[in-house]
Amino acid sequence: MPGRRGEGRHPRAWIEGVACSLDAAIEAALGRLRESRHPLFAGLGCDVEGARKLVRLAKLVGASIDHLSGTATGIELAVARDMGAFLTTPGEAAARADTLFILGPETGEAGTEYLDRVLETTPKLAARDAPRGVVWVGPALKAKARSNRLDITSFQVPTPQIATLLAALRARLADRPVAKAPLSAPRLDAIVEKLRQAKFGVAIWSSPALGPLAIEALAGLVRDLNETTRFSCLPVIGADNAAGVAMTLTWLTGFPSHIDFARGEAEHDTWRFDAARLARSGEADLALWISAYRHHWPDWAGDMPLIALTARADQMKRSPAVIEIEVGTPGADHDTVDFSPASGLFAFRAATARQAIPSVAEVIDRFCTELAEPARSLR
Amino acid sequence: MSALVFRLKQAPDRRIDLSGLVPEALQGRSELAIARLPLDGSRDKLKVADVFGLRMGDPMSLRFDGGSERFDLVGAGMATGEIIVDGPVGAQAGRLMRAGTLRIQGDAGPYAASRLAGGRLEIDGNAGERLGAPLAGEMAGMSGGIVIVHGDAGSRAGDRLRRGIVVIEGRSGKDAGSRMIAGTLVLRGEVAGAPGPLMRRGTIVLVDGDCSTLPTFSDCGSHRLVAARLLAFELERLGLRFARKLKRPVRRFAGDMAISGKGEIWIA
Repeated sequence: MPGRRGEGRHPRAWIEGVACSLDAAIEAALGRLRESRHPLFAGLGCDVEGARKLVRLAKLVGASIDHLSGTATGIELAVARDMGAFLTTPGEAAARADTLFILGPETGEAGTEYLDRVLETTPKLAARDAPRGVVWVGPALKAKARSNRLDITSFQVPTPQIATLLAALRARLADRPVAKAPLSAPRLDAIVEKLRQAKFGVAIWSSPALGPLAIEALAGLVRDLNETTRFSCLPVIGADNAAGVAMTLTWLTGFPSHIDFARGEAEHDTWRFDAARLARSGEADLALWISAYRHHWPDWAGDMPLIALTARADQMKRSPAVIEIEVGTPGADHDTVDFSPASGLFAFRAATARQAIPSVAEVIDRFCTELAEPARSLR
Repeated sequence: MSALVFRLKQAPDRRIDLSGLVPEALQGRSELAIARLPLDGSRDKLKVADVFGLRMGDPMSLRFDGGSERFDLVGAGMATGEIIVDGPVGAQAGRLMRAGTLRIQGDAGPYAASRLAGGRLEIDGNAGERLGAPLAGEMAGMSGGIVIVHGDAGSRAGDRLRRGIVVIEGRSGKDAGSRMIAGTLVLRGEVAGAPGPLMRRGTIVLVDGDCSTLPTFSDCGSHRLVAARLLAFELERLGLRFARKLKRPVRRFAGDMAISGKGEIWIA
């Protein structure tokens, strides 16, 4: 691809891999959006302002939106919607929890960083003399996590068996019998006893590999624990501001993802408006892929023409996009408001090295301005 | 009087919502009026005549000559009469159906019989995932009626089933009978994984062959259950002859102990 990436900090864009001006790329993208019968907006790795503009554009062109299929945030929202959840914030958990129930993530998975932070923090508002109790379930514990401030009990259980284990724990908590479980009966009862003794317990997990039924089993266990003590859940927040975009879409449209504007009103269907399904079935004929936090592509990128708004790539690679526009990384290249995984709140972050590269919101806003007038006259 | 026939003109290039084409909605309408009915849900405002050729007949007996996996909501909410689809259908066939008969002579997509409340849905081919299940945000699945799948079913068949009978003659996918609230799920073929995760009450019946059970299901031994005999008679009345096996003693498991332990799995 001509035009080296990762160098020079001015707006850059490509049409079919050939470098062009930002204006030319926007013009070409507009042409595609106008012709498309069913555009799909996916990825949605952007800040609150970007998501706002994307909803406006989706209404103008009658697009489908999906950014949660197969993500941890998608699974957690589905469970919260189906049965509710006791939730807490990362700050509360770090400051108050006297017992942590950790479903250990694989090393290197999203969330390990936060986990390290919690494990290294001394709780300010929990009983100070006693070490923080940690019940660790999952792959073997990292040596780093061991410390004299922590009283760790670890149980090695393969990830696919965690759902079964959680169901068994919930049964034991209610004194109901359990047949041969992933752990022996005395060890199950030992975990249950530790959870029951918690004054402020927090369950932490991150793995999307657990699946919705495992998370539902966990939410049920936490619900039952709240009969006698205080226990809450802290899902480790996923990448790409997924939770922040889900909240933004919810307050704008009523739904967190899987939305379609073909009929003018927002319509929600988790199966019909699944991005991968829309791409592979050929029902959508154009995708707008947004990824301002990192450079990555969906598995279905080859199934239809792609307009991409992406963060700069570190190395040159052939891009699957027909039209690609480089956008600034929120909080690095431009000021932003997004959902902070560290605090569990929306937060303003000033740019660390302000650049002239447009943000997602700026590019989408240009699309909206160009499309708004003709679209209004059509309706 | 012969059936009212919708003949598919050509395979649709977009999803089509057929929820408007049910017997009670077509009664007393002229051919022209039916041809002009809008097909809700299409991106461009399609009418019946754009997709189907019509042959007038008794609107209490509808026939779709040719199906498509892009036909969504076939027979949705139907309250009377009969619909036969000669071909496959898409998502949510028979959703919220209240009475009557819906027969799919092909495969059905996901969420077939979603929240079905009454009547009978029969699928000659395979059913997709979440047979009878509620959609996102709904608290309970099927609340009555009878669903018979002659082929295989996808994962989580009978999810949050509340009442009614679901029969799968072929193989069933993972997590069959997940989160069941009540009702009866009969699995004749092979079952992937252990059925009934997080089931509250209700009965899962395994007719041919064994399955693995979750540790949160307790073995209660073999019994000659009056309920099993009653179910056998009911299923035989529906034309399912394999049900006679239920007249023998069944091995009973109680579960899911994670929730309440009031549900059961019978292995016949």
